[in-house]
Amino acid sequence: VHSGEVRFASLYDRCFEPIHDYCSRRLAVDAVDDAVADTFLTAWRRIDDVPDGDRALVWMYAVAYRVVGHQWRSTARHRRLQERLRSTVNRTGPAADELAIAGDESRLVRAALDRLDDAHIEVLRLVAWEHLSVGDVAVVLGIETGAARQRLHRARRRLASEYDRLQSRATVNHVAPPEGAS
Amino acid sequence: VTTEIEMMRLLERADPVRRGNAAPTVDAAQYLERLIARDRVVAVDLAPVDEASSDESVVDMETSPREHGSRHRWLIAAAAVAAVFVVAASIFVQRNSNGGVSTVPTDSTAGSTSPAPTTTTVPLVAPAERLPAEGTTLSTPETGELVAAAAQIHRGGYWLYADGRLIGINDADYPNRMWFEQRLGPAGVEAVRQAFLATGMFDPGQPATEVPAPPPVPGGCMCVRDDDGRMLARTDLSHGLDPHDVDPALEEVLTYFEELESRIPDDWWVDREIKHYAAARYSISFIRRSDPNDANTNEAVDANAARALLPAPAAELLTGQEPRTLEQLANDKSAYPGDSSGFSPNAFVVPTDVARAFAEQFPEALTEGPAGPAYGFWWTIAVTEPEATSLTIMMWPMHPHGEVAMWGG
Repeated sequence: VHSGEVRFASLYDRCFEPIHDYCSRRLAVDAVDDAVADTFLTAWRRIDDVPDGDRALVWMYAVAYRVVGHQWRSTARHRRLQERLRSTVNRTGPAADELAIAGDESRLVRAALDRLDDAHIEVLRLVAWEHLSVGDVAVVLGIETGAARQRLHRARRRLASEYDRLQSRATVNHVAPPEGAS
Repeated sequence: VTTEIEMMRLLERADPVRRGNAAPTVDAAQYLERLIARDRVVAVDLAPVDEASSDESVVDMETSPREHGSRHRWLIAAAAVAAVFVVAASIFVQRNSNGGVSTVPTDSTAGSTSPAPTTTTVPLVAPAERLPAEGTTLSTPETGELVAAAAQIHRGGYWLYADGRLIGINDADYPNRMWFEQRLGPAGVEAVRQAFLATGMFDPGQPATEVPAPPPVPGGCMCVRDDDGRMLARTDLSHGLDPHDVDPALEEVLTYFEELESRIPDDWWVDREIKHYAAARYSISFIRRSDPNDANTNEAVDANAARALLPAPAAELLTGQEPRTLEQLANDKSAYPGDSSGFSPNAFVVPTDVARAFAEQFPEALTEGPAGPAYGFWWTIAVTEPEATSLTIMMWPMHPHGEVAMWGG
């Protein structure tokens, strides 16, 4: 067996689930498999660049971060194109989070999260859900560690602020949707 | 008041994914096999000539009135040869795999956590049916002066002309992607041009190359007409094979194009409706495979020589047409050492009504090619003289600035 295939097998065994989870947290369910596949395809093409050991997963998160970012942009453009052309194609599906929000507290937290800007949302997700260190977050996002730390600090503060604001409204049994949501 | 530490605990508990639900249903070897098969088709029928440089295939098929710089020359030559390989190989890959029906695997038999194939069937129709229907309003004028362009493999590309036409393609629409057209007003055109210049990539001292036409994209490229009217290009702006791992400036202008509808005022558009690009000209070129069992034996066939092999009514339509040849460039072997075949890709470039009349001479033929309208296609005919063989005829729309509108990214 080619050494690249051996390395890929090791990467697959180690990273498939976390990468699948990563994509599931950020994409509509029907886009997840493609994003995971794109991530692993990139890894296969660059198998000699994939670091060994625990660094491999961080490297894979960095690839997935870019794949997911592209999927978002592509989806937006795609939607506009298809609307204009009155195509019958409909590839959108419910977001993973819409399917899996369990309980009011989580709902409130996610509603608060949705009110932040994308950069803050991503740094919070990487820490809370992918359990990455600030240094690894910096690697994934391609920024300096100091910048990641600062971004995380601001993001936490803003999330807490939004959460408190929503919580005060929730006491009257109403959780407002994020601005712009339909 | 919630503390930041409490907030992070709450956020952690709000994780929408239940762990353990994403276990792979196939082993690594099977998954890799599917990835490779998927990539072969998703990358639109790409032949694995050289992964780093051949995925994109936009080729300047016109002779230029200006001298090409040596760097530009080898780029054109490399892409021209690669493009012909790409198309030629894809024809045979598809034919061998499924008898002429293109399949587009993306997903499904192995459960939600593994990529497996779904199938999109490209209708096999006669050549004339793949061209803009008679009476279709074609993109005018027939030729156009390019103002700015940006393209990235596996993502898409945009070509903006001085007359306001914006012609592009977006890989997000695969397998139904198409060449599309919108039209900007003068203010919109200038806004785009300034957005390119604002990246700093074309500032004095930057290693931009003056080119007569946008270079092919062995990774990614951007070009713009500067304030002095020169067309400047930056090429190979991809840092790796990941289509998103590109130079920030290219990322910026691609995103700018993708979001153009929200970036500029409505009144800077003449027509923002996205329409199929109906090319005013088509190229007709020819290839042959000397060994039917060997994909490495694809050969471009000289257009004039191919014309002699065509049925008389079809050949007559091309009488008096001079092929646009790339022979001079493609024969620059030192510039493209990978080309050992010595073929000289050239093509007839004809108005769309002539292209349609030509295609109508083959009513029994069934075309192959990427799904979606406004695209190129090909079909194969049997040739008996001077020897029994086959000839594959390819028709691709032309961009207003004279490139073949061929996209393999």
